[in-house]
Amino acid sequence: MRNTSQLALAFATIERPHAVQRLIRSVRRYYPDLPVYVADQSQRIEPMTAFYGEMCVNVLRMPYDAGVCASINRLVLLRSSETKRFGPVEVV
Amino acid sequence: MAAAVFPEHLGRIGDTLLSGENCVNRLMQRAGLRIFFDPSIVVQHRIPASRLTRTWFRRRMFWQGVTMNLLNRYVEEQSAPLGLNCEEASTVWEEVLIPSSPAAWIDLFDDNSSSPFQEQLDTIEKLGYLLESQAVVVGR
Repeated sequence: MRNTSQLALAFATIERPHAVQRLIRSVRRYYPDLPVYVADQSQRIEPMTAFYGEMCVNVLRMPYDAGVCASINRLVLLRSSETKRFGPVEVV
Repeated sequence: MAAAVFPEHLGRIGDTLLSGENCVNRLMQRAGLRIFFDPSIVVQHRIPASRLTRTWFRRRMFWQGVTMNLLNRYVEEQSAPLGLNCEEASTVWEEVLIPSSPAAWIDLFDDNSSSPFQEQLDTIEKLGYLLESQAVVVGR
């Protein structure tokens, strides 16, 4: 496994709990210590609270439907003091 | 690039089908940064049946046109202050043909039109681009 001490995974989501769980479980299989940040704009994130805790995910609670860009911006702000480079990943 | 942020007036919010969250890629290109593409990555995308209708495709293409106009303007506005190369031209349409009769408008949304569906979508996308340039698109 490559050194991930300088990496973090941060992404935005809304109303996709099953997709988020699949992604994070998959990431944790290979990168158990990778810092993971999720900006969740879902109406209710309480059903995900236990999962996020179990997977050591840092959750940024966003207003409902705040938007992908607003969510990513908050994540960038959150990490800006300790992150030198951001690598946006586009999955199409 | 530090000054650039993701534009919060773009991207999916509410019921609109705006996109353009990836505009940072355009700015990165202008800044001479590298963008990696790995064709070996396979992604399964679950598409609900509601997004496989002609009505949805028309909505999607209209908002794609709106997005392109907003996106081009954002990239241009951000490039100069960031000292980025502005020589790379944004994709624009210099001519947008507007349906000129009620029948032509109806035909644009007719599932049984004699025009190819792709042509309908192209026209609707351009109309979205044009209407956004005139600041008359509501709902966002």
